[in-house]
Amino acid sequence: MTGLNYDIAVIGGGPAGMAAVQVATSAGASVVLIDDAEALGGHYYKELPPTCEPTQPKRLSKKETKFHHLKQMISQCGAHTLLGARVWGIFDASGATCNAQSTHAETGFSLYLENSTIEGGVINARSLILAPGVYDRPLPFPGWELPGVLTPGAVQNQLEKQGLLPGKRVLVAGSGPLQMVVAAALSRQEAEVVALLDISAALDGLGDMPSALGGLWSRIPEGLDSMSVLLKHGVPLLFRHAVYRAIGTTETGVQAAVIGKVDAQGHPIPGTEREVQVDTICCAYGFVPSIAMTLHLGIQHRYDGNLAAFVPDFDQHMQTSLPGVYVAGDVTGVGGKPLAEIQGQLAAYSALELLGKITSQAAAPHYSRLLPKAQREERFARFLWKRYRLRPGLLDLADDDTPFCFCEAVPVGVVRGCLKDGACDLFGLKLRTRLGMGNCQGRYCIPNAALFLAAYGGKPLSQLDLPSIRPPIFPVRLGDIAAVQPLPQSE
Amino acid sequence: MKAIRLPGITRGASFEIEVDGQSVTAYEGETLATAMLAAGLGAFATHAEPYPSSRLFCGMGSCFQCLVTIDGQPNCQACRTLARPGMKVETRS
Repeated sequence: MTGLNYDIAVIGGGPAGMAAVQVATSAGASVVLIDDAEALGGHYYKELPPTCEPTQPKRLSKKETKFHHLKQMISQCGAHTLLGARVWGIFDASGATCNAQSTHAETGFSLYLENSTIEGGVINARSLILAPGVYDRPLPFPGWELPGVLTPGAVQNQLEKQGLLPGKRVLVAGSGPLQMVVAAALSRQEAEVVALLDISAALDGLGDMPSALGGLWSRIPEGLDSMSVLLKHGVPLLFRHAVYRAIGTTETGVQAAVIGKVDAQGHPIPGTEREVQVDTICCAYGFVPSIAMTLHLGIQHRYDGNLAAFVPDFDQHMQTSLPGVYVAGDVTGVGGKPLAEIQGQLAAYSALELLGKITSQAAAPHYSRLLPKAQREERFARFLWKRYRLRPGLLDLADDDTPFCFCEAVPVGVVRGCLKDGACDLFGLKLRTRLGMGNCQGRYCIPNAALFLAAYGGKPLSQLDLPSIRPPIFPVRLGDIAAVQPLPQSE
Repeated sequence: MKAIRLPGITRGASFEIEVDGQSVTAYEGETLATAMLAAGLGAFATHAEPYPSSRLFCGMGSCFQCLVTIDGQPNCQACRTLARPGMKVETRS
């Protein structure tokens, strides 16, 4: 039974989680690494399943080589790795909801898993490093319900993890650094990228670039690499443009897109529309941090204005408001892979110190080595998200009968009507419309509902109360809950 | 619109699954969503009215829009479920 009690549970097998595991195991902590995907790597390292291989052997890229080494490290470091396993709830040792008053560092946490090979479905850990990452943020526009409209993350997963090209004529739109990477990946695979639309202006934020890049000049060639592929394939880059509408039917999928110019605030500019023939529209506006788990734990969150999203609050050692729980990686503010790795290491040293696996004196040099690096990366992330910030005018693209929430079939008009009637918070909107009560549990509708409240209800986003998230934080079959057999915590 | 399996990749063993009574080819290591998209089946579960159907959208298990019934088990995520030989899939409940 002791095998299921760990010093540290790391949730999320991306760059942050893997870096945390490396540090934690090297100091002798017992570690379990859990990810709901079938493979390690998170949303950064993606590869084909083991059943597939390139017909012509290729030389591994630098990134592929790094990933190969990381996987090797994880398999040899002594951590227990649980893939394809979803954590649907985290409770304290007595099975009750966690709160900041309890001393979890002594009694630990119980993690309830779905789809795992763990008998009883529960594992115990004395501390938690949460690295759940982010997901794409789509905004509603007419026709976004059609087959063939998908997020950049979905396109990247299909291409890189399944070897599937989602379409032949693709429009890439929205905003964020991923768009250019996805458009380049599609072009390399002989898809025709009809255009790459970006809501920002070409020079937005570039004045801040020299200071943002301080010490991070390696980022420039990374961007130029994708750019050169797009230039080589003649992909038109249209700044201050957005996709207004998707045209097609459920049977045919997307057949065309109406695109047009937007102003600095994202408002569509009448008279600039034109139709382009496409079979796929890949669109999202940045990312939303996956905060279901940190909300469920009752951890404090704060509003990040550049991301237009809530992130868990944490101190410089990645400690959250709940003792023994640390965060790392993109969930903290979409800082990218280098910051994720630094934060994963910081979180691991903090957890090791808390658990008495290393002394404060031993941890201190690691903090002073890592913290300045983290600050440099955070500065770069702030620059990036200032440029790619969300523009409220984009909310005007949706018609009243455009779907707002798919799970509960709520049209945009109903949400606008509620706001006109005086709904002034997320809870009120939920009670009136069922937003947040469907299968995705508010992952997509709630961040957008917050934007609509701010834009049409006049309430500053930073003053919104976040909805409470209760377990299960993913839909779970009743059978999985009935099968739970909590294990006694070991000494 | 059929999605295209990229050339230049040697895939695992192929087998057949059944989607709404139609035979669909899948390869070992593919998700159900991939096999369906490659067969031109882009509409997944039928939504609650007024939206006619749903599709692969987030591709990472977050949005729950690619739900289908697999071997009688409803509400399975097609993007997170590996295709298995003989699997019987229904997109309409």
